[in-house]
Amino acid sequence: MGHVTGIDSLAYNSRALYWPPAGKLLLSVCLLVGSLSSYNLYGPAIVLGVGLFLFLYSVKGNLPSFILLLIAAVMAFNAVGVIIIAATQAGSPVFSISLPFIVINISQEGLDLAALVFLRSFAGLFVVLFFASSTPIPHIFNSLKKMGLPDYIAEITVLVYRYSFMILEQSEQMVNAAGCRLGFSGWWNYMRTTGTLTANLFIRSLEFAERSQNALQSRNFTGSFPVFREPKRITTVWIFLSLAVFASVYLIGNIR
Amino acid sequence: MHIMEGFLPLLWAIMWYVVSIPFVLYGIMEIKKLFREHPEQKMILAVSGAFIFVLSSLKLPSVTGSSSQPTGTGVSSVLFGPAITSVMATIVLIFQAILLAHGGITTLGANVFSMGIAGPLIGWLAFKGMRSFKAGMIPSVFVAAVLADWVTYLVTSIQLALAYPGADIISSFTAFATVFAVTQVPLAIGEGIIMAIFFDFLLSNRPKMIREILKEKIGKASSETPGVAQ
Repeated sequence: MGHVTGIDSLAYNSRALYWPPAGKLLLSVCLLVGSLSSYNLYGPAIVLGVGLFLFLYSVKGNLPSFILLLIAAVMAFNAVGVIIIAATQAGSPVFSISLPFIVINISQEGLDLAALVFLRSFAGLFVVLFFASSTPIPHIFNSLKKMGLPDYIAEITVLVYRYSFMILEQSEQMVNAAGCRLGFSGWWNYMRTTGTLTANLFIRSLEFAERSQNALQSRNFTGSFPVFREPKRITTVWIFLSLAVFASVYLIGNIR
Repeated sequence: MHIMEGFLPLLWAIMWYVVSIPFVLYGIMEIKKLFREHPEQKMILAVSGAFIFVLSSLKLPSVTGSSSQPTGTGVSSVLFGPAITSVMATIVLIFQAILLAHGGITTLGANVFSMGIAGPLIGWLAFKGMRSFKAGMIPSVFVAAVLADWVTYLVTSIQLALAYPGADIISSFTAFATVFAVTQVPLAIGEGIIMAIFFDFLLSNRPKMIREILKEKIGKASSETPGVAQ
């Protein structure tokens, strides 16, 4: 689970940390939608290039090992997914794969669609990584609150975010402790340990949350978490830039 | 079980957003009502949300453009009902997309529908149904957790089959569902067992808290002897 805290710390150290969160979100959505609107490989390829550039800029060119592992894991899942898409498409078979109980026919249409989906997914991953590595969660919800998200939803979201890290930290300690006591030896032991561990984790988290709630209220907590430096508001430049990027990707992605 | 970024065509991505938004808006209104009537439950809800996040981030490798995790939403729907769970699942799915690259932004609507709406709704209905037939609390939680998982995985398979129907939609659905089943069927049973142990432990150690939450949702739960797991 180290990559959860890893991405969070990347976001707080990003070069693009103080870019307007709503602007980064709009640009990312425009890139993603542009990629999905493309019917050829050029559109997603451009999005991949832009996403990769923005991501590398955001992390100052440093790629931590957990990010590489994350990318490899996601793309491995996606690769198998696109194989199924290729195998289920209609069309005259280009080649066949014989398995013990079934023969899978792969058509040219299936291969084309699989390549498009794979590239869209690969491009989308870097766009999401750019957004994730440059925008801490409190900044996103701070911006959404300014855009009309109800206060109580913004508050519960920030609380979920804070408690997630707390539970992650506690779970690491408890899993280690249970492992040291051979709690995970054998299937039934594994299930029983995990069940009681999650219950204990829930209770301990509640107790911790109770204490932190008391601490917050004793400091005049009124349901809002101020951020040290307010993220910038979105400007018209960001809106025009995002729309221009979308239009470019859409046009290039629909060249026949 | 999430559909990864870029996997859904634009039309389906928009469609699943449109389908999910009314449920999430209803859930937001329910949360407002809950906070107004029981402000003390805010913290429990936040911890539950964080708990779903941590549980559903325990990634197991699956295939077909997806990854498999316990959803954690079955127990949340038992405790808070499906409407509130849909909002919590939405928050958790946003966190997962941003912090873990599980799921995505354009696939959020589809993932919210499968993991935050369909699964918890069926899990909650099963729990209520079993309780109305005087089934024990622990078996009811087990069935709710297992069904919430299985329905999530079936709906994800349907979503992918609708997006990529291929030669025919049934064979596409069968292909996706079969490959998911390898990990998801045993995973759901495992999650059911873990959640049953989890609930049993909570009923023994925090009966008051469970009673206070459940009596708001299920009348029968309030008549149980505190601390005794059935």
